[in-house]
Amino acid sequence: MDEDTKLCNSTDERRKIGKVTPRERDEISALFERKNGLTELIKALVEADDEALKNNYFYEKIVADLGKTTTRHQRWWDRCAKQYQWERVDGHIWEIDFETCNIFLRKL
Amino acid sequence: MYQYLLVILEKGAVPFCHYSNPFYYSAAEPEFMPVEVLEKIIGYARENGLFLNFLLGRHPLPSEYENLIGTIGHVKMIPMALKDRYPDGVLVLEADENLRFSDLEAKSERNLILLVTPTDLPHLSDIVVSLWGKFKRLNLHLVGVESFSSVQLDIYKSELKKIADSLGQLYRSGREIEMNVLSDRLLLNRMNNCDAGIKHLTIAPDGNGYICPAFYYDNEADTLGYWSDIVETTPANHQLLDLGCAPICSRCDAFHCKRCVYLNKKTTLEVNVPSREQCLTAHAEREVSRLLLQSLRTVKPFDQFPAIACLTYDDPFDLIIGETWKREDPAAVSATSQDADDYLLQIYEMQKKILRKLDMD
Repeated sequence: MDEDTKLCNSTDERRKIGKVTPRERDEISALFERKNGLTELIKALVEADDEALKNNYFYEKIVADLGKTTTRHQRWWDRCAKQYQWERVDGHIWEIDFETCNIFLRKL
Repeated sequence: MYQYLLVILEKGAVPFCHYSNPFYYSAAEPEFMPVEVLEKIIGYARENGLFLNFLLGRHPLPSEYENLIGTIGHVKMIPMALKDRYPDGVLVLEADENLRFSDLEAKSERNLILLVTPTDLPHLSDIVVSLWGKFKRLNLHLVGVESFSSVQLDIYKSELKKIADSLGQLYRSGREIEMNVLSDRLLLNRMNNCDAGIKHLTIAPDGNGYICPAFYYDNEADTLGYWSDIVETTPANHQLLDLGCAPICSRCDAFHCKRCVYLNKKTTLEVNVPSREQCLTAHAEREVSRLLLQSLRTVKPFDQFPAIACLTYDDPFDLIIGETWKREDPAAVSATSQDADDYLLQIYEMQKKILRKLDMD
């Protein structure tokens, strides 16, 4: 099952299947923001197409941080899904509404 | 001694107050409270004349449990999914499932609980009005009230006013329904709070006792002890749950307020100190109740109800830090000329009745 953490306003084909605590919501929200920020940074570096920039220490740090953040992000979903026994359906993803702490199952 | 017990029959039981229960949505098979534990609780309640409230999840109870709890007076708190299975249960509705409220048949004797989150606030009046005719009493609980912004509070206040207008029309047409946040204050002349840990004790599925279900779902380690060990004892610092030990609440006249000790603990780390958000919300409700009563001055039986004073503050904490508090009744300190008019009107109406009665005699 794929997971995603997009804040989604559309209600099409999604169903509420869970809820997390505000504390858990804050954890995933911070990881989500960090992941997005690092991805944007990498994109900017790639688009700059500067070999010197791409090979420097700074670039390596971002890549390493993005890897760690992605792993923590995935662990959060695994942990919460296991703890609260969320419904899994093939061809669907989980997503969270950061405002309400609700977890939805959305058809891909 | 407690007056009633709240028994959580499974961890995924429906949340029915200011707290959330992430386990409620679990897709796993429910793990019910062991039947022998339930049997002992029911036996104890029967011997001691305690009423029982059972909290159910989305799954119907096995017949063994149904038979057992059928032997004693009780109330079942149930989610929408079980409304047909237990038609006498107190239904707990989530405002965000309001599209399904049309499935509820008209039933004027039913009690409903409506859980409202900040995102539901802009549609609150529409949601509540859609439930008219489907209940005798509606208990509205705000989930996340502890983090209400001033904008959200304003929205809540304006939605309450719309609901009060509609409720006023129902009262004028002779309908007798109740809504905790608007009608309770009209009838109360002293605090009528939740009194968790004083009037009632919560028993979790594993048999451990808690002040209320919110303490259990927030942190299972917050237990007072195993239910049978604590049900007749007084927990440490028990007096802090009492109104007399709440310095802000004991000066307040938002008598309908839940005075939620769980939210107190969560927001101020003290069970006897409320957060500003709770006080502002309770006073918004109190103010709309006051305006509702004022608009019903000529309607029976509301003409007999004492007027609710207009206040100059919206958080009783201001009474303690401000100059307005002069050790008198806070309501008396800040009564306005409008209230004085109300009192005079009441005296005048009362005198007319007395004179009429004397004439008849």
